[in-house]
Amino acid sequence: MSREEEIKDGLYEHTLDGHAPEVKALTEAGLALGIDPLDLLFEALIPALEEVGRLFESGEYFVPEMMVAARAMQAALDLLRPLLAARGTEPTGKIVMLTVQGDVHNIGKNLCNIMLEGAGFEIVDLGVNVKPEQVVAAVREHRPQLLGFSAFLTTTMPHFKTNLAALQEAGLRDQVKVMVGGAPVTQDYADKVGADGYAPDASATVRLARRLMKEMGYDVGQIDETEEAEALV
Amino acid sequence: MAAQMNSIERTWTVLRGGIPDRVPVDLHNFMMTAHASGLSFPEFFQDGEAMAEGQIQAWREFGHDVLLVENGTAALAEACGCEVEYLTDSAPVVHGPAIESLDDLDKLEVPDPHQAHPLKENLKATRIIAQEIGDKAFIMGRADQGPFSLASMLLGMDVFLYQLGLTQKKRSKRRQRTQGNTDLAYKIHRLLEFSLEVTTRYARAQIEQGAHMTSIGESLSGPDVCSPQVYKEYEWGYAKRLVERLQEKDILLAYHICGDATEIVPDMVETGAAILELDYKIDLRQVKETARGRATILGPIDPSEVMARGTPELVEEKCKEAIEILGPGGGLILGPGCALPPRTPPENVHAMIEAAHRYGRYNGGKLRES
Repeated sequence: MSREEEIKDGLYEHTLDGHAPEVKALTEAGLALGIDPLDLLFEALIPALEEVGRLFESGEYFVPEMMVAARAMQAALDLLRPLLAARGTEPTGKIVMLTVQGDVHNIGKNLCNIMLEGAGFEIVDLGVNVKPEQVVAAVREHRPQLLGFSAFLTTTMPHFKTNLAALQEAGLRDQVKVMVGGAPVTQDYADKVGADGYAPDASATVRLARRLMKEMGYDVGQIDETEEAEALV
Repeated sequence: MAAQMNSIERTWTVLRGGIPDRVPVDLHNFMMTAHASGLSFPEFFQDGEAMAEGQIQAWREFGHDVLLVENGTAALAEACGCEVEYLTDSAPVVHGPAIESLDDLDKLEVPDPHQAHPLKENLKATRIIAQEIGDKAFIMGRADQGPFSLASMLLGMDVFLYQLGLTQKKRSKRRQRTQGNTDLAYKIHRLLEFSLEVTTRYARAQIEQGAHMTSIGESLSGPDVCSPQVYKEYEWGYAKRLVERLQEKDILLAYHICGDATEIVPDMVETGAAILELDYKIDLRQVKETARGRATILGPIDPSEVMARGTPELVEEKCKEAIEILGPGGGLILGPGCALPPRTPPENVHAMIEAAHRYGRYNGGKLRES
């Protein structure tokens, strides 16, 4: 195995195992060796992230395992992000993410952020307890293609509707596709409030985001439709 | 067959493994009582007299058998020093941790439930309810969060789950089953020991105020979030020890894990908890087989889609199904699988009670006794 292959292989394994210090060191080593940052992303980190998603869906990984893997991934992304930005690599798309008003749960949203960023999206995170007027202001300011709303409580889920109404009122509703998710949320509920998509977990969110981008006419490469259909069951 | 029983006889009969006159009903309705009170939620959830009145009013309206007295999931966390926000339209939530890291454990102190806010208000509510209707209704205290969930709040839920993730053995192809972090595991266990002390003390205080039994919530440790391995390593032993400590004083415990807990129900039964509070996502038949003769099941009606957003007809249908599967041979208290949302329609609650009367009678031949 060449040194380059060793580094990519190590990055994959350590990301999967959630070893953040090793991932950081290997990313630095790879860059020092002259490996293209995009190669590190697409040939090591994204495959690791897809495997994490698969392990989560098959019931082998749970939230704690996913969190350590995501944190390890973050360590690499922190190093790669400025390099990719500096040479003008276009992100797959821009997504504004938030947890709705009255809700302070951030774990699910933050996992989605890391997975989406790993998949090449630019993320603007508005944090938790975000009011409808802040949602409208962020769409005006950042011009994202996608919006993601998270709610952990049955009592805060109705704010999906409040936010969508605020976007409609501001004349911005047709400029963005809206994804919703969170523990009590279902596809049925997402349809009822008029969201454009629902994802049950972080890795499904990546597939949903790519599908919605494609529906809007962006080139996001191949999407495995069967995989998505299974995730929605 | 058993003659007409009152709520207390009915519930004790079930808990002792007997056959009551009919399936008892519990309501997990603290948010409904807040909504009905006309007070602001923050005011209501910090006022023991108001919470007692809310529970008693609801009991007079619905006539359910088991009252669950609580003000959400954040009371113990607040008493231990977490930052808590009292929301205007829901239960209070923990906003910030009590300690910065696992190295700060010595800064934590076990709160005196009779002094600490808001525990003393919950105890006051329990006392008033017991004095007013404790001879007619079965009163279950909520010793708030169990050791695992309380520990997660004290440290911050994201930090806690992340640290648990670090302790787990890994599965990548080259380093199969590498060792987890044992020093970290030790520190997490110390935090859990502290939380066990806090919960035990609060649980006992509720019985002293007149509650018939008490309960804990440990949903975070369930399979919707954590692996059965994490459950076994970091939750199971603490729940079991809590059950044993309470049994020393003849106190029974209800053990709540919502979401789909099916996979860990055999372990939950092994803790010796008298009641398992389970949610609509469980496999009813499988859980009935596991718990039969060993623990009473409380639940499993969906609080949101069925109770809050469904019709009375849907409530009746789901309750009938639950009673037919979980009711034979006793061992069932019908109720929602988790907290009822504030604006749950009262007619849906009435529909649940009526379903227990209509389909849950053991002496009318409708429900098998064994």
